[in-house]
Amino acid sequence: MNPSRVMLVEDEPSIRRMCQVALERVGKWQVFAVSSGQEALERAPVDRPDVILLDVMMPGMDGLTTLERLRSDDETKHIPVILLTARAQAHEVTEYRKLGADGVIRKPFDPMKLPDEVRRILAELGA
Amino acid sequence: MPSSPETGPNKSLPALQARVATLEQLLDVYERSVLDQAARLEAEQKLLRLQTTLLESQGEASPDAVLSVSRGRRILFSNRRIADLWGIKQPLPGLDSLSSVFEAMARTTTDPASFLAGTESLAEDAEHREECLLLDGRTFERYTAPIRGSDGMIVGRIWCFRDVSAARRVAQLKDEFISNVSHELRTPLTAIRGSLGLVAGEAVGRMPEEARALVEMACRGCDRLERIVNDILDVEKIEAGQMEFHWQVLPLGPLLEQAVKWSEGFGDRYGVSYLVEAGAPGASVRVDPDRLTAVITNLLSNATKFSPRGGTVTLRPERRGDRIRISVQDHGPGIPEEFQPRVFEKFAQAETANDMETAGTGLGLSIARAIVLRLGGEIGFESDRNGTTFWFDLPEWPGGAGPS
Repeated sequence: MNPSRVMLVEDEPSIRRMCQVALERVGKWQVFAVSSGQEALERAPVDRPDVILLDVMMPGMDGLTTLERLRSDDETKHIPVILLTARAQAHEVTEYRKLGADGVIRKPFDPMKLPDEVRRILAELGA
Repeated sequence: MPSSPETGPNKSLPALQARVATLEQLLDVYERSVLDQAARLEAEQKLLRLQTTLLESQGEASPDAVLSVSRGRRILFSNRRIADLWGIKQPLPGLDSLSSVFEAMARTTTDPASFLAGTESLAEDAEHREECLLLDGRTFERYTAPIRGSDGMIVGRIWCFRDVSAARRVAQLKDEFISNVSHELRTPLTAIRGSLGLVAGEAVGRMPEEARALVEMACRGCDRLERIVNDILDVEKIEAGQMEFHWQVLPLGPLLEQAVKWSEGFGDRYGVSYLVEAGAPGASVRVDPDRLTAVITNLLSNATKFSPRGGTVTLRPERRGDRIRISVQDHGPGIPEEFQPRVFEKFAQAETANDMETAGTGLGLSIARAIVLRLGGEIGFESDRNGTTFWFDLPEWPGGAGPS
């Protein structure tokens, strides 16, 4: 599956901007960048992204809580969610999957390779 | 009584007088000799008193609290620092018992039982250094060693106590500072490195060759900074016991082969090959495989950097009692003697080729040591002009035929 609309949820402005450039310029996607879990929950049903890239460590509502809320909402529960996190050891990834994550991208990542990584995870989901 | 001509009163008087004179002379000589000896003795006593005073004043001038005892645990000397440092009554040589002094000290520590145990269960020739925590928050270092006479025989034991609280606090503050700075550096570094990568990858447009070279150099600098920051945070996590270990009982052989496989690319760059010797057949260890591999690859990469081109680095497992020793041997120039004591210190680096891509962070060995300690092992090295061997010992784990 090749998405055309990607939501990026990242609280850190510099990282958000960097990822946005990578997704737009390298991935050639339309990007909806938001800075908090709350904002993601509000915008996702409206923007209807094909995939959500969700930072885990965020102040206020963290990524895992946001994930649970997305999964419990009929309007968003079908949208694939890929977590962005530095905490990506095997047992942690297993835990994220139980909570409903479709994939995990380990931080720090090379933004040039981010779109390919997203495509790879989505392709696995489709397979 | 008839008198003979020889002993008669006329002849005997001069003879007697002569004998008396001789005796007087002898007495005189004897007296002078006695006086001489007394004078010498007095001089020696003076010297001895001077030496004692000198020794005592040296003992008093010491920043350490010092206590010397005989083989029979009789107190021979204690300086005033003993009372000042410990806040106890000054021990009196010959009067106070050593046990009562140690008991008074122990009462001010957080773990009196282990403090006392450390004063009792000592071999006669044992030299020992350890730290003890006091109830008031101070940290003392306790050092003890036998006192030997000029013939080398043990005549007593010395106990020294030093307040190392300030040094420990400074070290802790330094670690906290470095760790805080590193945390703060991580996010901006990620943004810088990622953005530079996008520019270098021409995601935002083509750029002149010269600009690309500069951006690529900035990328390499960033990579190095990231390695340093990550290493600092790793060391801190391991030391604080916050790094999670995922323990598994695994056969050692495949772990060693895996580490060598991961290092081969690095070895190729330096023209160095790796040899895994057969040893400790069937050995299993209980480890976190990722962490153990990190230790071995670190030792291999160090050995590689210091090996001559075309050289071989040997990885050798051996059984030593109930432990397995894993050695990494190179044929490099050896570690300079003056650097050897600091090898495992953070940011310690001997002179190396300092190009940005291969230069280490100076933290690899302190990480390796921290991991080996967590794995229940020990780490060390031997080095001379013909090369260096780093080794670490791990407890052998029984019955580990396969992963568990």
